Amino acid sequence: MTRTSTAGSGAATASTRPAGAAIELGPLAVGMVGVMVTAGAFIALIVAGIAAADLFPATSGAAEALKDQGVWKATQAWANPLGIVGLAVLFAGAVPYALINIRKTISYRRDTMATGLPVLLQKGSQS
Amino acid sequence: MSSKIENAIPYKGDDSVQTMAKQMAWPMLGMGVMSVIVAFIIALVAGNNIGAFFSPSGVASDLGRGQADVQLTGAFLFLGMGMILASITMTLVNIVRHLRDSGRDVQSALGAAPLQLKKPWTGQVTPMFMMMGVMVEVLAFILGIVAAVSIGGVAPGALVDASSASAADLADIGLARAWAAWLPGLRLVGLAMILTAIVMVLATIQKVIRFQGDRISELAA
Repeated sequence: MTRTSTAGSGAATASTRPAGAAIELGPLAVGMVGVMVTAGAFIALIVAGIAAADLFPATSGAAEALKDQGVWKATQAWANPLGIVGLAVLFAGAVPYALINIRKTISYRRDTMATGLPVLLQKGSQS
Repeated sequence: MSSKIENAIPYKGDDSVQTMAKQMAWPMLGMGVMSVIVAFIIALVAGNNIGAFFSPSGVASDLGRGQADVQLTGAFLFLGMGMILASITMTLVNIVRHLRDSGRDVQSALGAAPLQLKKPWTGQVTPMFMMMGVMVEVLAFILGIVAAVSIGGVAPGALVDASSASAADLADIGLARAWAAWLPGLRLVGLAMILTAIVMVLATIQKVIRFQGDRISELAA
């Protein structure tokens, strides 16, 4: 039995059982990308921290101190936004992906109920 | 039990992790919100202190207090955000619990043996990711307090003119500056771990709903 949906776009679609690696692992793979991007930013910020620590007190020459200051400020400038980008991948990629999968699965359950409940009701009235 | 559905097991109640989620979701949210509010109040104080330093009557100690408050603000803010996200994770776990119990009630009403889905691997690792994330946030909170104490203990004049700082003051300034560089990264990693836990709970919810569809089909067959 094909059940049509009146929700959302209203497109008449029959849901198939959502399964497979893309459904199972897709959101997690995207999430792992986000975690790795954030972890990469963290590693870069550790380098920035080491450069900052070298300046107090600055034991090396003026040129070396200037280089440390450059590493410190420049890395902070791009690594902090990179960390936020990692979180954005999770918020805007992995979470919506998982929610779309849930929506598809609810459609599948709707179809199984639409098919199964009349049979179950018939069985109940016969017994 | 007679079911051909993969990973179907007889109904069981909550395990220890689910009981914790049931009891801790709202208290965790409350603590998180309070922590964020505290952070905002400290941020206002920090802004006031730094503004006072740059006023005509400003003194160096205002800058010291302001810089210490800035460190405290980050510490409380991200601890609160971690707790709020952990609370969302627990609330989603509670949705999984309710789906399972609703399935039991429907199956019982139909006169069938109540079955549930065996906890999938996404459900097994969710608490680990969430706890790791919260622990990272707590660690970052403690380190943030240490950084605040370090910068707060520096002689006010040394903050304004580093060339007049003693060796001990320079070491404290260096510690605070270096930690302030990488602590935000550590905090973001903690949040990313908790968000991953949220994605895993969502994957678990999807599997539970699919199981319910499979079970209805099986009972009707």
